[in-house]
Amino acid sequence: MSSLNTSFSRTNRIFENARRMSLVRHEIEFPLAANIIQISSRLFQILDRSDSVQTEISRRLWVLRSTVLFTFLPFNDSDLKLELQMKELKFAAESIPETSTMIESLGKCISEILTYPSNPKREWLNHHISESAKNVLEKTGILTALSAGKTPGWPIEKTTQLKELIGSIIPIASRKTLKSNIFQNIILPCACNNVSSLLLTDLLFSGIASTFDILLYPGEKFHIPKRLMLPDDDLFSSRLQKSEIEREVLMVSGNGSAEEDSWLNEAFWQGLHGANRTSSYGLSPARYILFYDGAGVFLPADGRVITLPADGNVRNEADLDLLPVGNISEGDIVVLRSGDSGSLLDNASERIMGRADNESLLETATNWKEPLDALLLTHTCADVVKELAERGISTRVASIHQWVGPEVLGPGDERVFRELINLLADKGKIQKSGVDLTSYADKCWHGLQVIRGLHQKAGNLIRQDLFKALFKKFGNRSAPVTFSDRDTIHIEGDTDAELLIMRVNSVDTNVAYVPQSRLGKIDDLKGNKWLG
Amino acid sequence: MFPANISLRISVLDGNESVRLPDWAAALIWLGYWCRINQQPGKRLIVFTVLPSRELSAAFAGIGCLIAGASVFEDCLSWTTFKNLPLGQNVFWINRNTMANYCGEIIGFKEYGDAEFIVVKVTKAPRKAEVGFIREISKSYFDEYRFTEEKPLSAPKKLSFDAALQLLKSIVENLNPKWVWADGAEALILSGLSKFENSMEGISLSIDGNPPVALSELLCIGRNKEQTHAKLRIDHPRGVINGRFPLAILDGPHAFEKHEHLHSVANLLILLDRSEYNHGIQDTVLGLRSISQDITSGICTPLPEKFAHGIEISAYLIDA
Repeated sequence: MSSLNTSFSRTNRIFENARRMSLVRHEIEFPLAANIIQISSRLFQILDRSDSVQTEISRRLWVLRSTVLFTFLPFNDSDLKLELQMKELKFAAESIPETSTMIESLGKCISEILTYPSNPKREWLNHHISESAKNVLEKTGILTALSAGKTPGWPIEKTTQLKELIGSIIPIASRKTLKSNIFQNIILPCACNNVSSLLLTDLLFSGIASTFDILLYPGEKFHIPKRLMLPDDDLFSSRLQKSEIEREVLMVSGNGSAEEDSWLNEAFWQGLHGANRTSSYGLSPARYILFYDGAGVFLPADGRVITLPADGNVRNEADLDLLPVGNISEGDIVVLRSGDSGSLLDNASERIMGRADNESLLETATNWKEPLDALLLTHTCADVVKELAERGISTRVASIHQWVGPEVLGPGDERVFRELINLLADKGKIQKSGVDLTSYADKCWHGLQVIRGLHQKAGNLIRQDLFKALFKKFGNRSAPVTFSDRDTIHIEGDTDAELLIMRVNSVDTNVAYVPQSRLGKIDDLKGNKWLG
Repeated sequence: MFPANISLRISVLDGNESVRLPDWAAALIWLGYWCRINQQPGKRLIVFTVLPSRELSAAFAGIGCLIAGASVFEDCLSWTTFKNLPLGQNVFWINRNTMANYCGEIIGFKEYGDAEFIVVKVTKAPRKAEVGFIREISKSYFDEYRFTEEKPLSAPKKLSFDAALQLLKSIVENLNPKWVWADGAEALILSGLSKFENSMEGISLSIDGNPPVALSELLCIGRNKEQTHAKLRIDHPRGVINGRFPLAILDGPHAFEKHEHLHSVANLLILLDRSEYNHGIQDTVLGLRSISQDITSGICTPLPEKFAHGIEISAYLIDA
């Protein structure tokens, strides 16, 4: 076997894994867990989750059930608090008499499980570890980010013990771990219905392992998530080869996860941010980021945020990455400005705009937005796309929507921009023609280009300022910086901003729609019941 | 014609280990070739490729571009090309007899009767005394000088281009050796520069048992912002991207964001790994699909029967 130290051997192995990848569902016989799954499913069916009391019962029920299914600890481990959880659930459910029989049965199962000598998944893992020790050349990974927030069954107090248990097995807590490792096999401790969809998709489809061992009690169902794929085309589709698991995905429709898991995945984020999932006037698309220190923030879905290398290796300004918000993942170290706006870039742009005496430039460059807004009163974005297509311009409905709003300056392509202006003039929304119209378009386009230049300059300026501030605080640039879950630094000069450096715990993969005022505003979620 | 059996003929030396060219790398070489060679006036070929990993994919696609470029190279009339250059353009020339290197600025063209002259102002010369001279070079003496728009290579670089040429000769039938020294690059690669360069470290290619050449040398690559001679150019996907190219290889989602700004590039090959292909990019793909023309007409080169496992490709032909 070749070493995996070079990019070629690594890439070769990834393609090989993608070709022969296999999923092994290990159904571990354990009737008690099967009973718990069955009873909790029936309970979920009768609970009305539009009622806040019953929502709380559902949450407790999910945590209890997941503690049993996710954990590798002995069930009677005091940090799992199974007995206490059951007691609190019973107490909460007293107000719903129709649940009493099932709660009682569940209580019996929990009492019985507490007397069970071992944990069957733990036994499987111990056996696997002794087997894999024979092959020291190959790595095994284990997925540990089983849900957003705190993972039931993996108490923080037992982190060291769990690390000792898994020994040389590499814990996979984020998409970052996937980028630097190739595994012989990866262990998935449960059905993974609460794992971030981005993480699970990357894990299964990026060729980082050839075998996935999925540990399931009877009643746990693992479904392969559907991956976004290129649409078939006329020329190539018949010549491409799909792997076994991709064929399996095509045969199964729907996500198939348990009702309680699907509910929990949305209820968790609603419990943290409570934002709309559908677009409406005055709301901006955003993504919610939860940090390890119990803070959370909405960032514009199409925005960018500065990130630092998670390993602390900050050697030069190029190590400070401007990452699209949609690409933020667990374990990322992001930099936000404290206060009402988390955006650093806007602030720096304003500084530069002020310095350059260009305050009216934005107005000049974007005053075509008003005519576009006026056109959209009588036409849909799709109409505009169609009209532009007739003029030989290919664009998207989402682009029109973005151009009219404040988040995006306008078309990045000059030809597209000029045709848009011509269209607005033809529709009578810009009262100009001939040379006047051309000169108007020239002026706007020039303004847009100048502002784009300033934005780029702002990005560079921030990197420089931040880089200086980082080393003022952390010192020696030859050694990696050790970041805690939350650090603060100050950028000196005319911003005098306090910057927060925070480690991402989870990301809401679904877009939410929020008022502008919520963007960048940091929420303190300490004490929120959804964070345990 | 795409060279036959490249998987059997090319071997990859990775450190000390030599392996047959894997199918995925062969597929990428073919894609680079296909995207470069299919040039249709007034049309633009846009090809999306999603891979389990895109590491090294731009480099292998780059080899395909070189094979295509070398295959279709036709020696052009440099005099005519030069006559069309704008005034003020910097040019470089070497006196073939003395091998002296010069740099100058075109300040005009003159005709005395039937004789045509390029008028250049010397800005760099082996002897300081020559700098600032106005020189008129006649068409009949033109061949004594090797004129280029690109800065001639340094001696070590020239050796590596020679090595690349020798290796490519073994796979490209009737390769005209002038191709490697001719102006103009076969493709622009937009990628993270250091990552791209680091990924090629320690990798060499050998064809038909010939001595291996480092992948980084085989690509004959130069920075886009420099005027140095190169057969492939590379740029970071930031800021304004200049230059005319038959193909741009957009390596990753940052590079893809530049697709709307590449007017002077004929075709586009977009390389993404599976985790990078998202709904935003898919919207663009679906938009292209809705306006794509019949791609099968006018496309030359037969397609491989099957591509390596894990490779997804969608190609669209639109009006430029």
